[in-house]
Amino acid sequence: MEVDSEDIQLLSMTMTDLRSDQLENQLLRHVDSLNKPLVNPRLRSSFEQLRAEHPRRFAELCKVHLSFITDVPADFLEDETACSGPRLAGHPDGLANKSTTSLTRWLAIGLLSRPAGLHRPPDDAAQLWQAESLLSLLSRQLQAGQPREGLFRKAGSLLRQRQIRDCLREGRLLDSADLSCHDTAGALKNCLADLPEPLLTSRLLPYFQRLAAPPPLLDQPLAAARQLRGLRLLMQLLPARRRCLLARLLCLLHSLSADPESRMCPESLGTVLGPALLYPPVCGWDAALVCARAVGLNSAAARLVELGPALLEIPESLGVDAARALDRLRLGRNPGADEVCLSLRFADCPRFPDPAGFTRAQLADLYTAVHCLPESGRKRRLLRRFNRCNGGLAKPSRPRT
Amino acid sequence: MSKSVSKSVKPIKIVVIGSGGVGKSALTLQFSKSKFFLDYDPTIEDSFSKSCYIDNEMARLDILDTAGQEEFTSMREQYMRLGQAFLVVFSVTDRKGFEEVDSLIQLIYRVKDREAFPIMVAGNKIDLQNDRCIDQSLAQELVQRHQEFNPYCAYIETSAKTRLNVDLVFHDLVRLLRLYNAKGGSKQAKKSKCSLL
Repeated sequence: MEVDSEDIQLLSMTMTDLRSDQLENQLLRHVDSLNKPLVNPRLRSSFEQLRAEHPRRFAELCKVHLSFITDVPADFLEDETACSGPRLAGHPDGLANKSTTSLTRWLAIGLLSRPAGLHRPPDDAAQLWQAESLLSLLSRQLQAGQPREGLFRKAGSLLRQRQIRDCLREGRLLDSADLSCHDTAGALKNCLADLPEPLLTSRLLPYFQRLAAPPPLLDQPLAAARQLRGLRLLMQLLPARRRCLLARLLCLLHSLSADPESRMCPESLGTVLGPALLYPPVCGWDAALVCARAVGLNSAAARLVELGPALLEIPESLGVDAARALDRLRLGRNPGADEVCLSLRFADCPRFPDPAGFTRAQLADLYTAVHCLPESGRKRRLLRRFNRCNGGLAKPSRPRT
Repeated sequence: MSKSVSKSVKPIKIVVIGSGGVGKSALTLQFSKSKFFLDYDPTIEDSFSKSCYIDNEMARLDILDTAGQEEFTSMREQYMRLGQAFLVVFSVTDRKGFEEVDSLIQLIYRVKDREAFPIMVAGNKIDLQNDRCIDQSLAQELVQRHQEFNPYCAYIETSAKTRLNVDLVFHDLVRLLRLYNAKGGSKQAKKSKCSLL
């Protein structure tokens, strides 16, 4: 059979167009399904039940879902404290792997007396309570209509901030009329920065930093959808108290950024709250590290503020898997520790019954057509390309009949 | 001509400090780019440079605009060590920003290990007269207290929005620095240390 090279070009162009349309449709479906929120109340209650009754299985499920979005080390869940405990091994930045840098940073952590990653100090709960109380006070002040221009940016009175925190340490809340929302916001920022264990936990902080950083192709729907999904999964991995506090904080910041009176856009809030939320504990004292990473971390914090309440949704596929895992546990068919049933697939292609077979057949057709071309530099080039794509081992399998 | 002259002149490192949202960036941008930007983005660190003649003498200013938020105070001491002259800004409409001025000046003395250093205090936003809560006398009183032992400290009221005294505040700071250098301040005015032995 003689095939003209122009026909081949036309054929491959048509196939490319066809495939790109199909791909686009698939992509849009995939983007929709990635972040479909869990609304079914039955699934939601199963989800919460699995979290409460089988925290390890729950965390494992989240980890597997997360591994579709970002690299998760195999030992991510190896210690008992699962997702709540401080942990530096398996840090995606290789914190504990590089001897010199890790030594420096471990030393720095030790010397700078912020005991992140080593021992949980007993006053962790008390500090969280302080932050919760300050957040409640700030919400009340904002509801009362206090002027909010430059909130979190303008400095409050240092004296009053100290008074607020001293009172909180004694277990009471200073709520006097001359307290401005800037005083409270300043005290809240300090309180968050002083948490012995970061609000996002030492374990999850590097993942938040990495996932919230603006991806290079944020305009592409898939990149943005994957980011949102990853952050939603991380939110679910946070211990309950921290998750609630973060949720309340992000909702408040999100509404503040939408309020023109505050003049604080998400980027501005990211700049002033990045240090309290996303900087590594040691960073607060290390000027060089702050300078090097500040911009990236601040824009990551801005992204968290921008997404705000959207981060609190539970991905539907996670809910479905959680319900399935709970059913299996209830039926007594206790699967092995590593077995996780997933509703996720790497690719969806409902239009063709056998997508892999279809691709193979199409490739074989194309290969034959190229093989029939008259000898030329172009044919050699195309064959080389084929061999490269095909691993250089053999021609695609289906011969043309 | 001016380009080659300015290149041969040693740059003067001016550091602009002050509380958050008082108008440090607005003042710096108005001076260096002659524009008033309506943006309300907090700064982490920005630097600008400008060459100009002050008292018929060429000066090349490297201005470092800094963050006002205390989250970034870790960087403060680092840039304070490099600064040759300081512009301490507060807003006349913000009492809390004014309260921080004294501690910032004290920090400069401590970091530079000097009892006297060229410091210009700028009371910004004086176009907002209705919201004013810091009187000129109050700010002058503060500066006079410092002038008792630091003759290179001065106070000027500015408005970055209307460009009032913007050039003056930077030019006067350079004048203070020249005076300080002429009197050998950098060598002599070190804090007196214990000389028991």
